[in-house]
Amino acid sequence: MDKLEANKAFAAKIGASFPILSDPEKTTAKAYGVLNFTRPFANRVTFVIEQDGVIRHIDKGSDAIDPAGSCGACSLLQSKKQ
Amino acid sequence: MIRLLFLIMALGVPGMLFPLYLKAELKVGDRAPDFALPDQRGNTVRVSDFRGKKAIVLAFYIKASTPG
Repeated sequence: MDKLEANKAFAAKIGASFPILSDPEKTTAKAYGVLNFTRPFANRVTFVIEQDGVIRHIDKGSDAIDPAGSCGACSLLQSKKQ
Repeated sequence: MIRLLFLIMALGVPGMLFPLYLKAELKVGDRAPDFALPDQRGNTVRVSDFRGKKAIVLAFYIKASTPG
């Protein structure tokens, strides 16, 4: 939900090669149902979306901090594809 | 009457605002809502850009050395 400039600085700091998206209007956070009710930001949630646009895995809260669950889901999608 | 008005204000306003925050929770098997958001390079990224090409890991990750 950060503004583009904040994400630009963060991406440069960590040398991110992946897209870091900016959602200052919170429209995507609302559409994905992750907007925090009491505080003005999104909850930590990770979605793994298959090539067909369907959600195949969701990690929430502390599970979303550890990328293991999403990595496992990606491996499953990869093996399904082969 | 004032008490009634207060009750309507107390219950009615949050009741109207609540659905704005609580959209139906997405589940595994649901179609991912499309969006069009700028990345750090100013390019617009959409879920539909990847359809039929690549899987996506979409992480909402707050306060990662950034304000929000």
